[in-house]
Amino acid sequence: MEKRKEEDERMQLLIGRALLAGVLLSTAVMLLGLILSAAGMTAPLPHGISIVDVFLMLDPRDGTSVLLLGIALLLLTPVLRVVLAVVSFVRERDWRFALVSLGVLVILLISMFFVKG
Amino acid sequence: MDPLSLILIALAGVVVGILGALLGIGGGIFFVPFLVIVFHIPMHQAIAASIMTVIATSSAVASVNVGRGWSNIRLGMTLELSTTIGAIFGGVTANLVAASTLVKIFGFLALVVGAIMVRNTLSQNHTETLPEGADTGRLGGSYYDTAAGKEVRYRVKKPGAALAVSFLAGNISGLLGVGGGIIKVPAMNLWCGVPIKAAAATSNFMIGVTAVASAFIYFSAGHVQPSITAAAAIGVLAGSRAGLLIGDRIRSRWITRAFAALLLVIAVEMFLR
Repeated sequence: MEKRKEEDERMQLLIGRALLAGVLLSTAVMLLGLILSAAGMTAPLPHGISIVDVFLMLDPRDGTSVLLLGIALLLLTPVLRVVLAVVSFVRERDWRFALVSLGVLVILLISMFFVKG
Repeated sequence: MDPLSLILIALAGVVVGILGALLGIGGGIFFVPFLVIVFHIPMHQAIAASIMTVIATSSAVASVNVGRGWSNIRLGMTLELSTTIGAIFGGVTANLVAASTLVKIFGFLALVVGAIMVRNTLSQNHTETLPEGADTGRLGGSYYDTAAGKEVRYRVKKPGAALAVSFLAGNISGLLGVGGGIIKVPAMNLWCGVPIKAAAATSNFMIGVTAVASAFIYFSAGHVQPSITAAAAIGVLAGSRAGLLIGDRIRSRWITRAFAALLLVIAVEMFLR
């Protein structure tokens, strides 16, 4: 029981750091995008693109594409959190909750790739 | 969007972020009406921007909460199974429904949230603490309460009810761009016996993942306006950070009631649109 608590605390620390890194990185990229856009470096907003497209069409001379990258990084931060939870539960050999976390990850991936608005 | 409007949106985000931290709720319930009423931003774009601020604050607050050990990862992950599915249904529904209808549904939610806020100021924290060393079950947990100077242990009662409420909260989150904590936290506390601190921290922990499930849908539907969204997210992040620093000191019933009254005004304004 106490071991589980210790492992849990390690997991929380790891996840907390990853979340903070994701938020800081995405905020920095969004700020950069806003500055580039304010400097007039914008392209029209592409329609119906996926998260993957955002990484493919990144152009440092186009503020909009940098903004989209920052937003994509922000979106991926909680996904990373779930991935880390799966890894941590597997390492703890807590199969029940590894499976639960994997289920959440699958739902997110379905939303990311298959559900169209 | 011109730079001046973007700066104003970011500043509004700062205010919303501080408010959220002070009132112990996400700011989406104030932010969406603000974008729609003051800036005339289309409802779907306002919801998408708000969803993104929800993700930003959830991630930032969770990273701060970690050291305190209040959030219960096992309970959170389990309930996320239903919040995320609820959010996907909400996001799909929002994109099928006319903006004018969504505005009215939002007005109704503002009314409900205002009522819950008033009710919460009247009720007590409802928890039965287990004796030291007692089994907390698979979903239960424990944390050290510095204010009370002792360890709090709890079991989770009625996990089925928690899953059902989480589905509803996720659904509302995906449909209207709010976090949904205002529904989950009292339910987890009153029905499931989770102490309010643990319920709030766990709810916040879940909100980011829930919001992402519907955010992908708004993204693919083209409702994410990059500059508005970025300005909003940066503003709310800065505000919630500031709110965390001043938060605990000036939390008061009267502030909560004043903003519950503001929500009533927002509800009327949105019904009449």
